[in-house]
Amino acid sequence: MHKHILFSILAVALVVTALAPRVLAEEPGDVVVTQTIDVAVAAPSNTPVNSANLPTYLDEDLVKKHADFSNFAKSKVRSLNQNHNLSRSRMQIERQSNGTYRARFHTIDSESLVCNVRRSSSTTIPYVGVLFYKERIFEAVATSPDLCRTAQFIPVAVIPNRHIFSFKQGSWQ
Amino acid sequence: MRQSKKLLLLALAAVLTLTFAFATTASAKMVKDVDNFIFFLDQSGSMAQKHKTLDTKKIDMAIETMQAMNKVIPNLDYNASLFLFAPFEAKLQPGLYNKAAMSNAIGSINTDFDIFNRLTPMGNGLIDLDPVIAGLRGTTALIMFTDGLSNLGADPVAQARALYAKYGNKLCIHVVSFADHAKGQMIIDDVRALSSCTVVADYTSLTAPGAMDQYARDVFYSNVADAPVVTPVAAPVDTMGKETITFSLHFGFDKYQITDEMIPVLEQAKIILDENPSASYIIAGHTDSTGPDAYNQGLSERRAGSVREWMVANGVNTSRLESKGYGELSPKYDNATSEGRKLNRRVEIQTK
Repeated sequence: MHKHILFSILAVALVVTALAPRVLAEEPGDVVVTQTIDVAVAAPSNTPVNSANLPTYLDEDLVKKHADFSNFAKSKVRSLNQNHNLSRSRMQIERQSNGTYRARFHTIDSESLVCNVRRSSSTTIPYVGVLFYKERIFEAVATSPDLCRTAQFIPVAVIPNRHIFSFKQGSWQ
Repeated sequence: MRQSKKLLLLALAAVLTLTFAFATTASAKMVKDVDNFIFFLDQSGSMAQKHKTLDTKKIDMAIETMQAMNKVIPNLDYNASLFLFAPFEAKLQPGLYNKAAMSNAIGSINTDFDIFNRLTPMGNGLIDLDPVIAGLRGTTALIMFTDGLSNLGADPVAQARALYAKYGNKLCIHVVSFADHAKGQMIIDDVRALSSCTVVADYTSLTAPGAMDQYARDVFYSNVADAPVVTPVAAPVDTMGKETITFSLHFGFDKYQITDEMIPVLEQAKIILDENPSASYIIAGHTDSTGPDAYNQGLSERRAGSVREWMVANGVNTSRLESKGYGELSPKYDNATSEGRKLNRRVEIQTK
């Protein structure tokens, strides 16, 4: 009796396997279609450089400030992650209508930081820094809150952020 | 008898596992985020030098990264190409993406060249690439592999800005950094800061487990749900939320007036609002939990209102802005710590 059930279950499993949709894209054939595009020839700029049009890459003072702001940004992001109300250690777990639980936490991707510094016309705030980062939201669903906490979390959304700081009396704030 | 029961249970467990596994994978499919991508490699003299801390030739690291990236890009009928700059050179003309062809093109790059007299006109490289981008249909991801050092010719940041001005949201420039110098890192960051579409990566970050796959998802494709999720598993879908602009104006106690010291930060916020003149925004004032609720509510409304008034007085159309006070009702950070309370005293601007 049990053998029949066992075989039936295995047969179902095989059918499920065979009918499962293919999610990976197929490898294309070896045919390569190319198109030729005319490409311009590099020509050095003839515009003379002066104090008014000084390119950023020649501004040594701004390079120093950028490096300084980048260090500040790394510690600021650690602080934002530690203090976030929905950090991993303070994840939100909600019971859903189907009886399962959904856990959610936010984290700033420390690899996503971009720092941008510019001069301002103010004498007391000579520089303004903008920190770009991506806040990723992760979720997991399980049958209990405890299982949620240990489940595999999947990224479900990304929030782009820009945080503006000012440089005053030798420090970023 | 007991053995059959065990077998039965094992078989049931196997079936459940199979069903869950397939149901999970079936819930998402890969959809390309861009129509075209261009690998754009810096072959200047500085790239032929060893990285200061990683002690490997930067161009070798870049080629290793490009090969690894090529492996994880799905075959989704992209139009792909490979160009080099400093000096400019076409290695693979735009055409239907083929992993083998791209791999061969990357492998054919000469990394054994003289450093002497090989300067880096990065800005000129972007000028040279313009006709290539112009010849492509749809959206394009330009992935630059560079240490950011630019010491000749056009300003690379200005040229990247010009490309964005020309192509708008049909172009996104991503820079994979091999910078080992503060100046190079600043130029790379300045190019990245031109658009929030950019995905940040460097050699080290991309070698972390799973990082290259995540990069491919962020730049080249999305997982999109295509079937009802039948298992209790979160759908693996990445959606992009609205951008949040945050700043602190350091108002004095009970104060809501704009002072001279706040102006540089407000000017920067206005620059961001001016990037998209057709967008409307909500300016939200937030406080920490110190003090009575009603007082905090009123204070946050007055402070958000002050920011709105300043923006309007400085040229932002009044119809684009709405101010709102949240008081202490929407804390983003932990009010139990002084740092958390400091972070909660903030102004946020979001697109409507």
